[in-house]
Amino acid sequence: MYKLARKSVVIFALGQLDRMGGVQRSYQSLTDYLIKLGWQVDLFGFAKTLDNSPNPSDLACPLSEDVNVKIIPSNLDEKLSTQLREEVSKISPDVILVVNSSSRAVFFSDVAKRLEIPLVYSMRGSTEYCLRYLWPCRSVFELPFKVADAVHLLMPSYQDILDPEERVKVTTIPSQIEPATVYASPDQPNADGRYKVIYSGRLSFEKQLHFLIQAFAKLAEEFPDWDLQIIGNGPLEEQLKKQAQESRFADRIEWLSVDNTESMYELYPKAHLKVLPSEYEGCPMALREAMAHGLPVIAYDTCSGSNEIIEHDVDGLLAFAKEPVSGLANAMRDLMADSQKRFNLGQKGIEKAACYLPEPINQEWEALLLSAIEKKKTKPESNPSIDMESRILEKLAKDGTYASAMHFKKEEVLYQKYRKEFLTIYGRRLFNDRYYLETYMDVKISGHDPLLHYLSEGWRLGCNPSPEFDTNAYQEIYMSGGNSDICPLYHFYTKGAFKGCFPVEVGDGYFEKWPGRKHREIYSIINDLDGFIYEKL
Amino acid sequence: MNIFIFCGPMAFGKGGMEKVAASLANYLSKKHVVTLGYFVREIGDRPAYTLVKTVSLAPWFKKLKDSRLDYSKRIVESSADIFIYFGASSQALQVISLLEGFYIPIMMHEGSNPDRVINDSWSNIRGVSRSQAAWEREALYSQASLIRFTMPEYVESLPLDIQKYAVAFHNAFEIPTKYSNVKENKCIINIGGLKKNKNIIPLLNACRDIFRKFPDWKLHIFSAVNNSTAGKEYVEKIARMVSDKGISSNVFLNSEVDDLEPEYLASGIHVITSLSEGLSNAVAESMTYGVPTIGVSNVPGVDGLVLNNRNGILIDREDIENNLYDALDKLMSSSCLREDFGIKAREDAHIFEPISIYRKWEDALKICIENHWKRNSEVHRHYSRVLIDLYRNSVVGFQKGKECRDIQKDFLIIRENRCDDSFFVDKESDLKRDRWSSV
Repeated sequence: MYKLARKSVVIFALGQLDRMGGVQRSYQSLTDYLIKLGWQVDLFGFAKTLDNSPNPSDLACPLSEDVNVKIIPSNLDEKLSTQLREEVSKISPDVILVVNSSSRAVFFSDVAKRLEIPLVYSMRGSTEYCLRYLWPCRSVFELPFKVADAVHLLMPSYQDILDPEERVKVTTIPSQIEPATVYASPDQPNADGRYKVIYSGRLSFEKQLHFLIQAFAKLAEEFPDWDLQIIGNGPLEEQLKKQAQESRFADRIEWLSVDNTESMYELYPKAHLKVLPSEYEGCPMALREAMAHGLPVIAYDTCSGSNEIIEHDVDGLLAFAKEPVSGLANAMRDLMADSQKRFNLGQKGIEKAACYLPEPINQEWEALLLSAIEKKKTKPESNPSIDMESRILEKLAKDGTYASAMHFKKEEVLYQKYRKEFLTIYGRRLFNDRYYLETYMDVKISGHDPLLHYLSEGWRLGCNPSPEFDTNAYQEIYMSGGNSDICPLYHFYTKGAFKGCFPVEVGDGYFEKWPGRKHREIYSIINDLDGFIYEKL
Repeated sequence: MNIFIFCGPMAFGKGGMEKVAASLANYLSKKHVVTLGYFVREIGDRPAYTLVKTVSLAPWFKKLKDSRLDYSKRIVESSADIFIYFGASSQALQVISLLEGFYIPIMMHEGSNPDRVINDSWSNIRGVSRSQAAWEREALYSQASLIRFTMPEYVESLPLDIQKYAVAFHNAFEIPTKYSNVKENKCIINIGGLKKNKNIIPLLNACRDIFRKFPDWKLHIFSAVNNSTAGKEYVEKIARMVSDKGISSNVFLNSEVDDLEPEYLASGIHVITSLSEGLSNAVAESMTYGVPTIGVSNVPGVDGLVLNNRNGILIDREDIENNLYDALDKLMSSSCLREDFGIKAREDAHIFEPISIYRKWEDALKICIENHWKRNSEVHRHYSRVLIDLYRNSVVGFQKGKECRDIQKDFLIIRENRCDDSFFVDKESDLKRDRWSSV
């Protein structure tokens, strides 16, 4: 009888389960809590080094023995979808929780929808960051929000980007952090008489650690008693270490790699200031853990997550992001020079961090799961709009194109006006939808067709259609300085390409940031237009 | 006009020929559509000299499979009306063979002296005899509608039938607004001396003695280094020699610098001990800054610019070290003589005036295109026939008729097949399915 009354949840988990990270730690806290309350928990996730059904204690962030863990292949195809539907049907959960910030969420949401099981969708990051970098376009981004019965976001402002009808589904719950047991003394030097600025997190591009190294180098002479400690690893490790070597203060920059919370919690009390120079954050644990230890914190004023957690000049400082190096250095100077202020902000941080303790947060989580179950029960049988979204979801999941497919509403009047230009350029290498939408975020948020935007107004605003075509430079070189009313890319494909004009690269560092997106072949007009001849012939 | 300039080593360092090619590309791009081609070792390598934005870059990444085919496309895409080749070696075969059967005027610029090209950069590299190398060079150059040399005497290296299509004029060098105070300066400058072919050792031997007499003088060598093991070992050898001779406090080995102007302005004497040059940039630049040069007589590209006892001193290569000592002694002992030679050097440097040199380039372009229609002698026809075999034997991947000539035909088809409405309608149906679909 007990079994029948027991609630059951299937979690499709984001992140590699054989690696330590914030999201993995949150699974640990939530599943422990749910198991204690008698839930059945089945967790499907990815891991390169674990077998299909690992012991939950073998995960990098171990789970309770009562959690059923299944490792799934990273290639999300129709076969896997069928297999997952069969497995989940057998479990027959009351609710499915899809934790995924990227367009892979489409695949897992589709599994839930096709089984008609209540779905909670959890996006684990700033919605703007996710839309910019992890989703091909607005309409695909919206799909899981539309089909979910309940939505979880980490911070209140993250729902601003959503349509009003989706916002009502949203519950905001921050992630949990463990309480501190030993506190820092940010106003007092360590036993060796020295002070520490600390960073912990991944060494990846969105963390913008190069700004912290530059800012520290700027202050190092002024503050000879201070060192910088960088804890973490990631793809930019070598590059950042080289940058540190080239500064004059390499001997005052310490590099550490720590892979568990306990060790990290031993380092916070020895630090005096925490800096998180990220471009975007979700609900940064590293920041709140530092606050929990009584450390003053600094982040950029434009950094999502951080700028909602930190109350400027009360429990931390928000640095001026428009001038990333001097802005950060000014904020750091402010605290490095004032021990009392460091102490005061740190004390306030301890109060703030108390809001993120696991117990109340896990309670909110359970309530969210239950609300989705209830909502599904009371939902009308058929909703034409949701049915349409579910069918698109199914199509995308089935075709396997969910990661790259772009869907736009056809703006008929505008399209008819630019039809010839649109059809001439569409499909050619020098208009790169992904680049355009990532670079011009307002266009991505609007959901408009990027090519139509470029043709109707983008080129006049100096927008570049691809990292390989600099609109202004092309006009300047080949169109008598740019007074023409012809779109430069259209000019190129219809005239310039046949007259010796050649696209000029933008030089905005796009391929340095995304080396994997670099074309294997050097640009060739003939190759670009080759499809054109064969289509014609 | 669309102009394709190819200078192979453009991305490998700041050589003299590369500087001339870059300056010419920058200049011509003011009036023409200019594409600059060069070899790269890695994708993303760029020319060592700064190019204006109006010059379109065309790197040739030879390591890539089918790179000849890709590069032929790039040449065709440039819609070039003329192809200017900058080179000084048998590598010209690799590049010019792309244009086989592709009816485009070619201008060859030989960036060194013919003797060095034939011996060091053709015969030695190809492993053929000197006479075979000379013949191959003639056959290749016969394809050019104009051959441009930097010194008049270099024209004589070609047979009479081809000489008709050769011209010689100097390279352009900016005439600076400032010039060196050679009367006061106590610094000897040498450019490129850390490369073996620049023959710096006699200068170091002369310096050992001359710095005893003039201890307040210095020698500054500014030079790129050959990146090979042998190149690095040579620099180590030079550094060791400086130390062993006890002249470390007078001799400074400096790496290549972006701007040599401050160095010329700080110099009192320029010394070039190289025994082989094309047209020495260092001599020309020293002249523009009013620095007298000591060079070796009968070295092409030096002798002729340096006029003995007018703007510098030419020494005999026999007993070069003692002659160098004497020449240095003469100039270091007399600030008035340095000043006098320096003034003459500046006067003589007007032959490098960019305006007149670039006018010569413009004229050369016109002549090259005119010659293209005239050039049809039996000699040319003969060489065209035998060249096919030479390309087949010497150019890996050469495919007659499969390079620029055939690609040009494809490109013309593309040009003809402009979009029409039926094409648009087909494409629209794809769009409705892929981009605007609801289900």
